Amino acid sequence: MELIKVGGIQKEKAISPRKTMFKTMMKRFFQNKLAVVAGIFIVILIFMALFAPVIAPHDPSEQDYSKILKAPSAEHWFGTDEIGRDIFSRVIFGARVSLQAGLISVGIALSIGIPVGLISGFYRGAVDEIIMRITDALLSFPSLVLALALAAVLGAGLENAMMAIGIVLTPNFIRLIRAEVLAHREREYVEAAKASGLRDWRVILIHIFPNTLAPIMVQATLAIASAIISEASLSYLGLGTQPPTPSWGAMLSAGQGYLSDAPWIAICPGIFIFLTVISINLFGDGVRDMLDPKLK
Amino acid sequence: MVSFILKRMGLMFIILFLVSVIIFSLVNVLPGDPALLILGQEASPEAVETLRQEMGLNDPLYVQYFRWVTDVLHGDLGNSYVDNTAVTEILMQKIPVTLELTVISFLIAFFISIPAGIISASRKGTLLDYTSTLFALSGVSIPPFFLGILLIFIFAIGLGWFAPSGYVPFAQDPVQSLLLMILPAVTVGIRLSAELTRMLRSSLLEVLQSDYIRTGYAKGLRERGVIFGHALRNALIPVITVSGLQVGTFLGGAVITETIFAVPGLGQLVVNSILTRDFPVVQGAVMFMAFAVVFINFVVDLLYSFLDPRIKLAGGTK
Repeated sequence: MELIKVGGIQKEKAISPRKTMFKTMMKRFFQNKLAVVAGIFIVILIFMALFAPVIAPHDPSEQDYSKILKAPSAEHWFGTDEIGRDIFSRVIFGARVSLQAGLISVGIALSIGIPVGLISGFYRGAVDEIIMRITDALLSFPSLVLALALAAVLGAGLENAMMAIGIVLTPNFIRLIRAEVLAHREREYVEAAKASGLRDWRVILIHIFPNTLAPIMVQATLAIASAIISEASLSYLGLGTQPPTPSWGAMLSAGQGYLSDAPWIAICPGIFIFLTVISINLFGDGVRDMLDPKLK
Repeated sequence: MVSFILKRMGLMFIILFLVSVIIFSLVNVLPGDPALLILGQEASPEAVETLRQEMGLNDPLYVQYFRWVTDVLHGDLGNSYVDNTAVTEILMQKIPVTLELTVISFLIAFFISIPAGIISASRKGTLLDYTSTLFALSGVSIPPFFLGILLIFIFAIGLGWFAPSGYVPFAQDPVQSLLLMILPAVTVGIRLSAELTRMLRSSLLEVLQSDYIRTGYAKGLRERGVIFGHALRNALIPVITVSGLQVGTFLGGAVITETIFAVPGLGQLVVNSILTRDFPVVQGAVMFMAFAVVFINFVVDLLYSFLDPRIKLAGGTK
């Protein structure tokens, strides 16, 4: 409730609790200046990715042998590479690959992790035990090594790299969701829902799942950052996005051989990967503080 | 305590069994016929078939798995398809290289993170704290391959202080070996130090609010005395645990770092063997990495309970 003055008399103005909560959350988010700046950068990046063909001054695959290894200039803002392609245009198109990889990999991880985590935490017992041991085993592999092996099994390419990264990220989500379900399953509202005769799946989906969303959203945001690094790593090693599609990781790998003559080939995409990942991490921190300051 | 250790060991063996099943399944669905790989593309189909029979590749997968596990338990990881060298021999050559990288990286990480974490926590909200927090966030966000390339660009190509890549065994020339290891170790160490700085800062902030710290100040101790004499010892416990748990992340980082700097360690071995479809080497190297992670996690679990007696051991009889 909020007090307002109407004609000199103080009256109570009814504000819905949901609206107040939303306002408080937004206020908390906007107090975190770094998260706001990061959010703006992410919006620009999404805009770049969506409108790449319009924004890019050159065709990212167009080779111009008269302009090989040209330093940054007014015509080529980030210079050109070893076969005369415009680095700036390739960086813009590379944003598509990176964002796509981040979002789809995390989407895959969530679509497996959420149901498995919910079932594991809700039913406990043998099912939970088996799922947890498999999760432990998967988490024993250095994540990049597992992604590398999976990408090799599935074959090089962006789709397969996203699948591999998605699988590697899944155990973390299963663990998080299971832990959240365990924290909620003994609460009174869940007991009440069960006692009212609701079926298990309705209790899980309608009552428990919405309460696990805040930490899932935070973890998902941070996982996008690590998925982008993993895709770039796989592309750097030759198992991710294949040429001629521009990918930041592959551009860095190609540019490494020209570091002394044309450092911009590797450094420009590298700066973009770094800015993207740090922005997503800062934004994720902001979302965490916004949804639940206790998690800080 | 004994029942806790036994329970954890039992769990460790179950995980190791599952790890072995995952590795075996992964490697056996990798495209490419090992017999063809050994004999070459020109080999006749009959020769390939004979070799497949000899290698037992036509047996059911579970038979192949049990044969492989039995061999592994006897210390036989098979031979490389590329040059027929025993995988154990290859691993023995590569492990010391990665171990050297690990030791130097962790030393760099502690050297940076302990002062950074202390300054950040004891000067909370100041410019120093923000700088240290920003460093930690940047360290976590910078991909190892970009950091590696930046270091090569600045310190090898620009300043000429270090060679851009290469490796000399420590026993052969310790000084040269360390000089060549510095850039790769900094590449992995920066990320580790970023994680540890974050951990130490939050752990120290929590400890600094404890009653015994207030008592320390009340007794008239100076800040330095309180931090180094009382707070740091307790704040370091979770940091030690986290550094143990970072081994997996470290090994993942080593895969990329060793590739960038041409360091002939386990990481480079994994990448090369995957690219050349050298199955026994992939199996052996990945198995070793996963075993190392599981074993270190087990040791860290035990250490944690020794270091902090307040930790209640599940299934234990303390």
